[in-house]
Amino acid sequence: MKNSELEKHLSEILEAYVSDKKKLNGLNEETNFITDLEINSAHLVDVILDVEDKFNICIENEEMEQMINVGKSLEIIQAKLND
Amino acid sequence: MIGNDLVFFDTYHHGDASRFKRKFRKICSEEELIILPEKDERTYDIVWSIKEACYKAFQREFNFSMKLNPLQFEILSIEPSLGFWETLVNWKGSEVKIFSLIKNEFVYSFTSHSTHHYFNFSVSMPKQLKSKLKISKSIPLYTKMNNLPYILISDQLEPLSITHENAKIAFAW
Repeated sequence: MKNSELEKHLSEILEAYVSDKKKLNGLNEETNFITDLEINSAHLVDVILDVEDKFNICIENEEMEQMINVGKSLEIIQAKLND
Repeated sequence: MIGNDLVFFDTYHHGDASRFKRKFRKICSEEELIILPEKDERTYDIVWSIKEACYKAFQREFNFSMKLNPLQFEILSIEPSLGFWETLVNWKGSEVKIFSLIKNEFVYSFTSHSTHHYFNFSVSMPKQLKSKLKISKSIPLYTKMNNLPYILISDQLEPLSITHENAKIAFAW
């Protein structure tokens, strides 16, 4: 799957947990889920579950640990899809 | 070791029972699940709050980078009682005691090291706290050094932990 397509899907997932939707406009690899998008940390596990369901993959704990920004999340999803 | 976390019980848990089971397994090991008094949504929120308070305390102490790894903060024991839990949590061989105050609407967890707490969920809370602590209007309620918050108490800067959910904030020092 193309990175742009992955980013679009990830953005759709994140949208449910971001209060200020305008923050999703400037999404880039460095965008941090907590400090930039202000996603409540208690909802981060929901993001991970949504990613698993959307891409039909299983995120291991060591991978989940790193999934706090867009770039790292896309990298992990892409690697899982290529497995 | 200062860390606190506030979680409002709400309806953000969505999906079926199987999804909720997967969700719990992302934050709790088999051993932890055995010692939990319940495995419902409210308990999930309490456990999250305990682990997040612990994460903040250890992150401040050891300055590690931001990560999402609740399983690394292992609950060793829980003493639950009505409206209050006392929990012992281990992180890489270091243990910390966490107290959780459980109300109808929210759970507030904090490390046993913090001696003062303030939460008053109104927009004028910072102003009220400044007045209570007799902090001059011209001085900010708290300051940051190396990106960590400190509060000025009796001319001394004390480590401060801040937790907020939407506009609701709680402070511990």
